[in-house]
Amino acid sequence: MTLVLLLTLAATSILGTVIPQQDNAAAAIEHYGETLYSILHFFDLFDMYHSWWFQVLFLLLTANLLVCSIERLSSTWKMFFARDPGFKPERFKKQQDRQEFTLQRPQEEVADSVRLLLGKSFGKVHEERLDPELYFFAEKYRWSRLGVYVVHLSVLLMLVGGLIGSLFGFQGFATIVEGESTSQVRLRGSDRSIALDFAIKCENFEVSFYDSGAPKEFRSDLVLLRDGRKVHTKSIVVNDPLRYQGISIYQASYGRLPPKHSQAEPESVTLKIETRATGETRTIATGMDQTESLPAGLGTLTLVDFQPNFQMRGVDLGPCLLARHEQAGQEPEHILLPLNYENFDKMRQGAVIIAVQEVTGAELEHSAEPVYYTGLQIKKDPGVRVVYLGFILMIIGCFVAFFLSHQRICTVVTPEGRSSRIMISGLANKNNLGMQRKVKKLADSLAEAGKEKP
Amino acid sequence: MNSSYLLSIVTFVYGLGAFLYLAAWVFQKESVAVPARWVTVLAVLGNTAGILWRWAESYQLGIGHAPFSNLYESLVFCAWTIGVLYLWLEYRYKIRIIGAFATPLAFLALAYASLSPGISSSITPLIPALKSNWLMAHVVTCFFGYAAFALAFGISLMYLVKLLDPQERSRILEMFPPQRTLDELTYQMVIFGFLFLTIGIITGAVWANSAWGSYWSWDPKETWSLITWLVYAALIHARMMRGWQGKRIAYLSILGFAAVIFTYFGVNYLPGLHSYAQT
Ligand code: HEM
Repeated sequence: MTLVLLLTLAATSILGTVIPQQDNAAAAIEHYGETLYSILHFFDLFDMYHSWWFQVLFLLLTANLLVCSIERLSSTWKMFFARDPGFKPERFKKQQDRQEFTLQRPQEEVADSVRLLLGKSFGKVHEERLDPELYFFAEKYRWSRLGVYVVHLSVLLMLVGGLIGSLFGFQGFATIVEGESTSQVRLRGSDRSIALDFAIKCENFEVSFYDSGAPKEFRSDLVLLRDGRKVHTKSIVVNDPLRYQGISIYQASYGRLPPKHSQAEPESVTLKIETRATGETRTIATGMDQTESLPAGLGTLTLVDFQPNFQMRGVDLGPCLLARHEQAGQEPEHILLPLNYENFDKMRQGAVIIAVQEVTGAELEHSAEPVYYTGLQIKKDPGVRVVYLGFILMIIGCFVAFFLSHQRICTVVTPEGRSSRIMISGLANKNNLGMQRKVKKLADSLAEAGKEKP
Repeated sequence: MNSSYLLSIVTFVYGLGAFLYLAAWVFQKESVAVPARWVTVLAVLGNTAGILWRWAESYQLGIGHAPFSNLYESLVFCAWTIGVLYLWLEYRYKIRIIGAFATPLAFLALAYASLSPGISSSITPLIPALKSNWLMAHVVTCFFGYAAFALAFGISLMYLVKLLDPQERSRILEMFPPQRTLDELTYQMVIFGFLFLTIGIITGAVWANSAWGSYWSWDPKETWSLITWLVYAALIHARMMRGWQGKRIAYLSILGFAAVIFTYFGVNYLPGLHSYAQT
């Protein structure tokens, strides 16, 4: 059951990485077609990690984990707290990897060496005499059997922590222009926003760049205000968030505001007109909505509109004039004339090239410094502590469960006249290879000790 | 001469080591495995020097970051972890023939890094999100995990190859350690890798929480590392509870390694936070 669940979770998780998780329905319909889309949508495949069936899988795994662990824990528990480890010599005597040999020394002397040796690597040694045999038992890391439960507990903690986070926390976003403040947070994945009980003010924003033009670091100096009073101040950069009363504020992104310009229309405009064929130029003075005739029968030009901030395909061109060019026998053509880019119209490859030379009336204040806004990720997640506790227990638990084993060792010394027959055998609940090596080593040192003292 | 030049030389040293190990195996001359080991030790030393040198270079360029930030650097580190882990395995278990299945992996990783035209070896500055000590812990632990899984994969292959010849008639396969040992070693490597992958995922989550404010966001790379983790967790449960051994464990270990490979390379073709690794 566990195997099936683990592998099913793995297999279904793949789906979510192949199908982009998105909320743009129109794009998805276009990509997959109507029918496939409705099937995928029915199974929530565009947001599958939050879908009911995925969560049911997790729930099943959790239930399975709980039931199994509790069931088995009771027997492990009994074993764990047993005073008497309950060694059964028969099990040790049946071990394949046991070591048997004879030492030319009486039982009592050998027994001393065994006590010393086992005591050194296992601590307490239990002795039992069933004449004529002498039994020694020792064990260590009995508690390591609990490692598995620590791991399982940590899995539960992580899931519970995640649940706490999604029930009592929020994940949101706010953009704040330099110098301004807000207490509204837009929630992620929905169009709702919530109000914090304090305001976040961005006093200053700074960004530095590498030579390549990639951003090196960006920093917002934030002040938290409660009823107009400063309650907290911190400069945040990526990887160093602000934390205040359970709420964390992360530096996530930034952007530039288009520079501000006067809204007023210009009173008079001086245009430079160049005839492409001859290279001849001349200037004309005109105003809004005035029609001027162009030289050499190239038609007429009228300034029809003024835009203080013109955006073309997401690029901010600043203040622009829009002119209509009419010529007999041709469709009227609209020409864009950005005030800040004199050579812009050359790109049009028209018969005339028009540039704006001078404008009066519209106060075109260029703010010298660009104004930035900072993008902040704001979240509250009371489950994080629980999840982190889970993380720590997971690492400790895995280490204990994998690399420590409950090792038990049994040594039997049987007198054979002036010599003794020795049997050493070990049991471990995992890593039998390691136990085998350990038994071999113990046997070797025992044999060694037997030779030393004549 | 710079660090990437040194590392391309190291590629050939790994290649020579792998060749010698393979020769020792195919021609059944254990004695050749000894120089093979020394060549591999040399390669690992060169690899270490290359990484340290690159680190120093990044400081000279005024960028100054640990060399774990793009695909090239991660492949170099990947070769290093496989080399180190293999040498430890050989030292610990005194089984040399595994080298024939392990060192080629280190060679391939480094060869891919050095020779693939799509992989740039230039040192680039870090984007702000990658400036974190957790990044280093994350990368180092993940790669030890991956390296252990790579070795488990090599050993599982040996196990399956050995199965092809149950009567043990083939002289070549006679050089392999007994099946029981191979099985046990696969499992040892898997649990070692699992511990490190676990720590790797956890440090990654802690880092994501400090950089983006969310410890888990189902980004494809995260999801794939979870998939890998689940496959190996299934392997561990199969073994601990059902007592699965041998063939089935070998298959699961190969499946797990396929997931590792996809987590590492395949995910770059899917969109997500980790796409920095494309550079
Ligand atoms: C990370 C290391 C893990 C180890 C070493 C481990 C080990 C074990 C062991 C030994 C058992 C048998 C229980 C017993 O003998 O008392 C077991 C059962 C179980 N484990 Fe794990 N486990 C690990 C992780 C997980 C994870 C991550 C999950 C799920 C998310 C999980 C889910 C389960 C379940 C549901 C059972 C009960 C299975 C049954 O009896 O059918 N384990 N695990």
